[in-house]
Amino acid sequence: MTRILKGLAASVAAAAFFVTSALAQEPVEITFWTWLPNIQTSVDKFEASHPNIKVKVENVGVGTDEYTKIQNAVDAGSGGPDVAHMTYDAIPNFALTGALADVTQFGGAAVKELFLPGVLGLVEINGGVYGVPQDFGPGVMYYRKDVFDEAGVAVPKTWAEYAAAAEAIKAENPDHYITYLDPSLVDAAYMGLWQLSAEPWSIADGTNVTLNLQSEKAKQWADYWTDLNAKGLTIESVQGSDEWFKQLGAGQIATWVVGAWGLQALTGVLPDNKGLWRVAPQPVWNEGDVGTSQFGGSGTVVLAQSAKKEAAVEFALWMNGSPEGVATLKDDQGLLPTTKAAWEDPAFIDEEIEYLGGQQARQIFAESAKNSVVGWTWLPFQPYVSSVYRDTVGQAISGKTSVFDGFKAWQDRIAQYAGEQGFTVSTK
Amino acid sequence: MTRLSAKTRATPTAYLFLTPFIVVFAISVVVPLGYALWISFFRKQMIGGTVFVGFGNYLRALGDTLLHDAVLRVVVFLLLQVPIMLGVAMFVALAIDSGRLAGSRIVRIGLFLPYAVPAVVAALMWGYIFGGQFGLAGQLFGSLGMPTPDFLGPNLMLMSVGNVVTWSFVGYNMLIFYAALRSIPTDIYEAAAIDGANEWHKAWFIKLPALRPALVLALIFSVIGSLQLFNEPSILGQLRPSVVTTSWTPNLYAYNLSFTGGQINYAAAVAMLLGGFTVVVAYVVQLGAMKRGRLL
Repeated sequence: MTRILKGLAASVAAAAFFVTSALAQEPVEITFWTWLPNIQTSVDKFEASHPNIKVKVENVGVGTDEYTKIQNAVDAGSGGPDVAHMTYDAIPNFALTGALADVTQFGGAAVKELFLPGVLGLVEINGGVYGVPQDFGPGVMYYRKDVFDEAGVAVPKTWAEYAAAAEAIKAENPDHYITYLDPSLVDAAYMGLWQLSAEPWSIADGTNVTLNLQSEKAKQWADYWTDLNAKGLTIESVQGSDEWFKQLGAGQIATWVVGAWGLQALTGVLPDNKGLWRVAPQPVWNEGDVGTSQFGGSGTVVLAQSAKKEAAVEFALWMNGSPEGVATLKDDQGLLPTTKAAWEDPAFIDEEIEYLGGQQARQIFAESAKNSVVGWTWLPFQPYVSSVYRDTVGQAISGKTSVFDGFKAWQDRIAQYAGEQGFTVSTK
Repeated sequence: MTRLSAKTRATPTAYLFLTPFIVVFAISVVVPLGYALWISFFRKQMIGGTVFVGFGNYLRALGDTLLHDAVLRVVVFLLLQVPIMLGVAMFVALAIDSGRLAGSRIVRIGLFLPYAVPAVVAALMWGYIFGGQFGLAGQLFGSLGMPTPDFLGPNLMLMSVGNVVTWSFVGYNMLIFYAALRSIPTDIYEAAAIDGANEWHKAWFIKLPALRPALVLALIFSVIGSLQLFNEPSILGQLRPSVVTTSWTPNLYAYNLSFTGGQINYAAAVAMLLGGFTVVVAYVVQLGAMKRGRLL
């Protein structure tokens, strides 16, 4: 298998060489919008091996800030970058409105072979491939070993055990909580619904949207957290805020169920916590289940309005798919690669992570990557769906009322919006 | 003769000097306003493209309960915050002008300094102060053995935003008032002193009436600022996202409609309505202030 992949990688390299020599007459400069702080090292290596393509890195803001500027450029017909960093939830929106190029049409056919199916599915829309996967977040659970030891409770494998652990941790120290609830963290709901295969929404023929946030499975997730929240076993906190990091650092928040990339955040912001954290698989609903979900991650997209799409695709594919590019992403950027080859490399999988007390954490990441429930879809207007989460479900979380009622309010807002956008909406 | 020729030559020269202003004004005000008005008559849908809807967006906005709530919120804010801010600014201006305040220069600079702090930085700083668990307020109340009020909770958020705005703009308004007080001729005070007026009499009968034009100006600026509330709630809202909803103020609503919902046409209509509402309120304020001026 590895040999076949290496062969594939070599053919990609050969193709890349061909494109490079074709472009040798005319040096091009492509613009790359990204918010990754250290990506210049990747770009430098790319430029060293592709002397005819210059990559100009521009940081125009994170997430929505960048998307707004891209949308403006798309509306204006020009002014956008050639290549851009984009989270998976935003890609369908831009792809369906014609803003993105199908990379397989511009020398990027190899993308279908190189990447993990569970991640490739997130950029495949209506038969086209609208981006090159860059990193992803297989769901795992980081936990404070010291807090669990202190409370004398085992690491939970199921959500039922997790609820029991919540009681034990709170009983040991009333200032300690199993986790936090963030009223604006829509990803937590996505992750929960994803793991349950709840299919809260689907879209058919590009125009028929079906919403199902009142399903049994949605209720299962909502009621579970309503219960923990009402019992005071969780604390309200905003992920990524200073206060939240202080709470993590102080052991006040004992677990963080998140994409594997969470390790980067912990090591970066809480270096003093070294040795206190461990990672375990994301808890499951029934003993024996293995299904996990994903949280976050981004791809690299090429804009349809770019006049240099071939060069842009070549860069995107090299950065995320070539052995050298992947090595840089892993080592310099600390991103979790998405290629099949990377996840079969023992040196990567078996490495002992010092921050996690020498744990071979990537074995757990790989397990989750393999077990991530497939079939999750993002709506073409996902940014809107995410934005009104805090107006609806967030209210329920803050007010410690029924999250399931919050889901109803959320569904109503989504349905109204989808109708206004011309979709045919049905609710189950 | 020479005067006349100077006059005729002045006209084209004046326009020449005005050209930079007219160009910038046209590019930065007239064109965007016209564009916003134009797009507010359309509706762009993901399915079905762009269609002309006439006043459809305006009618929708007039019946939009999210917008109503947002407008009501900023009006309440305006009625509470603006009198407090202008009252404090006026009090301090009078105190400094009376010449009886020790260290008045330090007070002046100290009060004005927050105005130099960008609103985003100010909101971040106050966000830290208000933070219940690890913030300054938490430490302060904690050291006194008292529970910390939830400054960023649903009940106090509007007041906390008002606090940030007041802190930022008291010095600015104080300076306007102080400048107006400085422009009062000193012979009026001398005459008053001869008539036996003390400092309170001077303040009430001379200074306050003289402040009216400055007050009207400050009031109009404050009304506009309140109705366009955006920076402070959006930053504090990041700390308590469920309190500051996406439609908490009309400006936040327009912003979110446009930038997360892609409903630029509806957002333009909301913005035009808000702009119109602001003009009306500012005009009413000015009219009211002028009428009262005539009565006195």
